[in-house]
Amino acid sequence: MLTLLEEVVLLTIDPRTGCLHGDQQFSVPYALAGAALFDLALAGRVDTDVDSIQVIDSTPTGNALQDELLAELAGGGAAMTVRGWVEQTFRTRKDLEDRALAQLVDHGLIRLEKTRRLWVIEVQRFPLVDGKPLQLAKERLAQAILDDTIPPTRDIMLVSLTASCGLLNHVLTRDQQDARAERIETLSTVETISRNVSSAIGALYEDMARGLSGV
Amino acid sequence: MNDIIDISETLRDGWCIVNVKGRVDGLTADVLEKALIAAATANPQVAVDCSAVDYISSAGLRSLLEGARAAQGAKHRFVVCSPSLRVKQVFDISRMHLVLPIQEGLPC
Repeated sequence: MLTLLEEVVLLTIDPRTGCLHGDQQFSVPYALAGAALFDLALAGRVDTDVDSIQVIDSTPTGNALQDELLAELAGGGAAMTVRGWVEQTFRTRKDLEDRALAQLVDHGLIRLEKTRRLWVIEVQRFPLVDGKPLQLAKERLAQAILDDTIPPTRDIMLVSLTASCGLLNHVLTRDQQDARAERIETLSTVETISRNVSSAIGALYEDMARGLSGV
Repeated sequence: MNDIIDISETLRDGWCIVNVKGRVDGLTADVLEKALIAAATANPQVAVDCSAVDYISSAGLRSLLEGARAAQGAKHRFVVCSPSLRVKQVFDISRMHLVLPIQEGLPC
């Protein structure tokens, strides 16, 4: 099974071109930080309450990236509020996307293609080798949102992360999202990590708007 | 029972009342989840009495959701009852009442 981080990164790939969707380049890194923390929660290594993180088991998971993050948390080298951790990870772990893409290549789901634009600029694309996991993730997202039943925990997490960073635009039409806006909001509010990812993204865009307006 | 959570069941007026006492966190949520799934699968009506729960974390909330999911799959009723003040605050922040039924008192 893919990690949530891998699933979110997979959802950033345009299946037609292999290019990464570039329309949410600022918010996706926050969602990736949230996904990495959810992965540690799903692995039973951390727990959260309304705002703080507790390490409940510092035993390595076997996933190198998760274990680096877990060691930082257990060693006191990381912020211990969820919002602080998401902000810190956004600033200090620019490698989350690249590491997850490399893992997806290792899993045989995508391949890396390097080309040059204008003979100089290197362009990376990630064509799908196996499109089923991406299709399945999209189907789970659609079902979680369009149904009224309680989704599995993991799907609630995936909805909240993709909603927070705009990736749902590549899963559901604008009309579908508008019609189910309340449901998306509900599923995005249940988890502490999602609430903090959303508020961090909101604060980022407020900062950017202030910067643009010169206030 | 372990040292920080106590779970017991009472059958009354067609309801299975799951009494939960103590902390529901990352260390105890698995135990509660298993108990709730078993109760929700075996009984047509389950009420989880949270009046003696003094702390609930995100893992604890997930255990309630998984119990409710099991009941839903079996087409059984599942309701969370009498949350303590501290637990109610967490429910309110998470807007859990929009995902699963929560009520002030026990159904019977």
